[in-house]
Amino acid sequence: MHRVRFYPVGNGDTSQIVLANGKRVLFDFCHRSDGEDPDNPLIDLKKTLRDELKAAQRDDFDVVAFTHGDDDHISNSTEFFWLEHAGKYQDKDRIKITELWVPAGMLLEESTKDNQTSEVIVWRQEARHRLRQGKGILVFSKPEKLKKWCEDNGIDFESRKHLFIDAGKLVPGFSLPEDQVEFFVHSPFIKHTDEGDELRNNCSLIFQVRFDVEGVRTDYFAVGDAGYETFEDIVDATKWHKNDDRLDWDLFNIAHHCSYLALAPDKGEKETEPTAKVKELLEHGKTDAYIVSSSQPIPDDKEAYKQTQPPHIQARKTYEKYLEQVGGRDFLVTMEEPTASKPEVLEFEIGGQGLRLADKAVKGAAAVVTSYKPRAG
Amino acid sequence: MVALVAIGERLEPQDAATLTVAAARAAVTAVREDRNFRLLELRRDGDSEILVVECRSHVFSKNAYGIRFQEPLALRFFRDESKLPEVRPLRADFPDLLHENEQEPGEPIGLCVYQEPWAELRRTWTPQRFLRRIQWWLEAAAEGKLHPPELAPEQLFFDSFITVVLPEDFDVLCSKKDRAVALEGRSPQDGSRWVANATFRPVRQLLQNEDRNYALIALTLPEITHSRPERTPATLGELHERLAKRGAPIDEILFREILRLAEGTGLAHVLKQKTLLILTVPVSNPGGFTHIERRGFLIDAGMGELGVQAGVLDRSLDPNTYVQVHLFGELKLKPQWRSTKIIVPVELRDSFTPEKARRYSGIQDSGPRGVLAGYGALGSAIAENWMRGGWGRWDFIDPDLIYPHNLARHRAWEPHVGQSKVAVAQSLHQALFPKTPAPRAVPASGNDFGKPEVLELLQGAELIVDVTTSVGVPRDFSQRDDLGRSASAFISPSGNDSVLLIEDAKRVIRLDCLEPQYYRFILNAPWADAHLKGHKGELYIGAGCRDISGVIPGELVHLHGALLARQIRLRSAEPTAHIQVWRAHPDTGEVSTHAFGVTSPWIDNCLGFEIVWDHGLRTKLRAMREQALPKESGGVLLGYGDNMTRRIYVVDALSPPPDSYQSREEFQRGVQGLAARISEAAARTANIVNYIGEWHSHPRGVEANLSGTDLFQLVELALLLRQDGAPALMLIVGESSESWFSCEVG
Repeated sequence: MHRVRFYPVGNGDTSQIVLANGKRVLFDFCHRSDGEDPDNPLIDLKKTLRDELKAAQRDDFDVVAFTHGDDDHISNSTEFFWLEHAGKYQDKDRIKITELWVPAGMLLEESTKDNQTSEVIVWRQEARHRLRQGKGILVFSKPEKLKKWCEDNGIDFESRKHLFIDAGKLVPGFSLPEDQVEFFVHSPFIKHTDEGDELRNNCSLIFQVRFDVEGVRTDYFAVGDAGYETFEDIVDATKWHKNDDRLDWDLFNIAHHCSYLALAPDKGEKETEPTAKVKELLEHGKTDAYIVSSSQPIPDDKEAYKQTQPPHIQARKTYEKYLEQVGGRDFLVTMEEPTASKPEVLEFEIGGQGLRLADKAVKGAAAVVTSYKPRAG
Repeated sequence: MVALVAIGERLEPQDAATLTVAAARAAVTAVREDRNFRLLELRRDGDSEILVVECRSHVFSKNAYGIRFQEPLALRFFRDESKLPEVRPLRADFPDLLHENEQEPGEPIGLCVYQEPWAELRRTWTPQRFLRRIQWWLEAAAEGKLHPPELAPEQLFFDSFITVVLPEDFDVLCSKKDRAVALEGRSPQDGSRWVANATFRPVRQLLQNEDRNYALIALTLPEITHSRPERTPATLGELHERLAKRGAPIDEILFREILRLAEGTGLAHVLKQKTLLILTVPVSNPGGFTHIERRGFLIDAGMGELGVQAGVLDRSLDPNTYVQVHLFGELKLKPQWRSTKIIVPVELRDSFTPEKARRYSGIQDSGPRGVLAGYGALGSAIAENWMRGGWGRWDFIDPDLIYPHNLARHRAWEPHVGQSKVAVAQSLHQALFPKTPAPRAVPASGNDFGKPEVLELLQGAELIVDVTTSVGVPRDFSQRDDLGRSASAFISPSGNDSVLLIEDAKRVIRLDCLEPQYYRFILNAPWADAHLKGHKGELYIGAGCRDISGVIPGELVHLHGALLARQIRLRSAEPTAHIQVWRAHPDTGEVSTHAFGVTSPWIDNCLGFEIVWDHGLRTKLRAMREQALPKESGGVLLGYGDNMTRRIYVVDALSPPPDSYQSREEFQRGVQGLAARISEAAARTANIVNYIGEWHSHPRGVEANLSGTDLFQLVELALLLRQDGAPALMLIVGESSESWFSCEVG
């Protein structure tokens, strides 16, 4: 059984794919120190991941993918992982990364934005180090576009060419026959414009992760942060290449903590009206599909409609509407499952009979004896 | 939109307060509080109230069993609380699954969400748990986990209220052409269930106007894969179609069989006759388990009529006989037979046979051809366990009769008083297995070898179990090389302890050689001080069954009987000799056990007697010599003689009394505490073990030869023992060997 896990890290992202053959692919890392307090609804991510690895008798991930360098995707990660470029990141209890996946934007200097922390600089150094070593990294970009950068930085491009993965390709290292999974790269991509091809290096990683178990296909749309324009471009490019099935999804990890900006430029009053192409993507949902919003709870009350920061209830309404339209199952919020007061890891199981939410909720007496109770006086 | 099955009528107003069944009201609350359930509607149907709900379960999106994420269900609660609340899926195309309950025709199938009977379940049932159970059922069904492959396949048809017990030789009987079956009721017919025996009779005896005579057709169908149980068909045609859908059509097989039975002289016409159709269907599950399901249907037509309806038989020539219509080539059936009514389905059960008994008891091995010598309280308890478990084919030897006081412990009843015990054994076996050959019963002592029937019985046995509570019988068995492996079992006078001695499969270590080892163990084990106490003098375990004064509760006899029955069964499957004691604490009921290591016996000849001792005793003697070196050591020997076997059994050697004189040249055995030790040994062994002689060791380098001093002592000993009529016995333990010396005066 393959598993996809989403961790309740507030308005941030951390998810993991654990394959039936044991391989682990972690997407983003957002540890909040508040989560170390057992009474806080946020998860203690470091502890949770450490416990998982310990149970699997491992101290490493096969892949850690940073979809992009924003703080809510890398928070406290440089304290957790073993980094190869400097001794100070090599304490013995750090978690190792066999292969690091980053978008080109994390490698290039010019992408520095205001909200980038010192941690993103550390990861840039790590990515560059691995690139110089020529192993343990994949950079998502159009190879030719990085040729000059390599030359400028004294790196032999030809011998590193295989480490640059273009959109529209499958990520090497995973295959349906070997792993029952393949990663189709949607972003970063080339935008076709009148002026010629333009590499959108600021784009975050977006994959369609396809599982195929005994002929039963389950598609997982794994999205870093992206705005509606990115989705529109993805729909365009995918259709232009006649890869329409690469827009299919049974499980959709929606962008940017349920921001309306992933759907349309306007929030809308009651719900966000998605742009035509985003609508098309939403309609690619399959029967019994799920949508996951990695975010704080999204209540449906008066106040919620006035919120400027994501998550946006208007966006949720839209997602739910299209989910119902395609015969999907549930719109699930990481900080709401199973309860907003004590969210837990949201796990999906994927196998030869499709997809399902692993219901680990214990109820009644069984729940009483497996949870901490308020103090009695 | 999902097409729904209609059930009952809508309740107005749609308010939980309208509900009158308490469980239904409570369920409304539970549904509202459970995020996986949604209340759609309240309905009523006769004396029940229904919650139409939608249940969301975490099933796989593309599960092979067709269970959906959201399933509309009817939760039906009855005013009569003794009825289990029902769960019925309302989606018209809800899949046929295992573990569903039969409803009236046209009604939705009920989900069999509980295995436990409602009468038990209702004590802990809550609507909240009920909802979770339903959700679990759907999830398990979607994963195919409702019926794990290691379980036997699901039955082909739902249960019936009529059970017919088939004779053991059913297969042989039903292949005969001139037989019909008569149902003989075994239970009162006013009950909700009815059990009848099927007996086969020649058809000519049925030419009367009898209600319970049936023509019999028995068919074997091709193997089918299990699915959920089939509903009971209303007609023969429906039955055919159900089975045809599962790959086992019956039409051709049925009428070919009718034609076969009518071959030659045709079928006799019997008024009022109906047919008992018996189908034998191998049903397999994906785990590779196959079970043979046999199901009967009472058909509302005689076999001949059925043949006429299908156009294969004809009665127009002779009103008393149905004869074959001449058919050419392929069987062409007229459709009229299809509307023949099925009166009632019949559940079929096999008769209770030893083979079935083993299956129900989980016993693989059919067991030995055996003789049980001694059918007393304990023997009868052991034997009953074996009989009911179908283990072994047992014959019985016992000289006694049943007396009234025996009924307190013995598996016998008042009408048996005055009968021989072995006859009772025989009749109990017959009461269990009326069709199985009766055990042989010889009213004699087990060691009465002069009687040819005793010897014949014993010589034919692979396993002889002595439960005679005598010392003689097992010792006498041991003297014969023409008998099979033997075991001896008994309980202590208090009833708290039981003992098993069993020979090795090759009979190298026989019962009479195990007996002294058993005594040595209980003489030296701290826990055994009261093991055989409470005996009545010289008897082996105290009072025999003929002694009215013996007081042992039947509870303890049956407890030990069950323990021993199992242990003898298990131990006899192993090749080694074995001694074991079980002790039941009379107050707490705790049973503890002590097993002993058996050592090889040695038999030495000495003055016309055989001296039986063993490796364990030799080791002990050599250790005592070693410990005393460079001085000599010695002490008394404990044991017993048996004039019938001409053997002296050496049980133990005591260490030197503290006032003994020990030097490099001689040993003079003291007396301090010795009498007490010997009488303790006698007391511990029901007076069997006593003083039998002396042992002493020779110093380093000196072999076990009789010295002048030794000879002098031996003679003096002989003179003293003459008073008991016993010989003097002396054992010398030398440098590398031991020697026995004996002396009898006169």
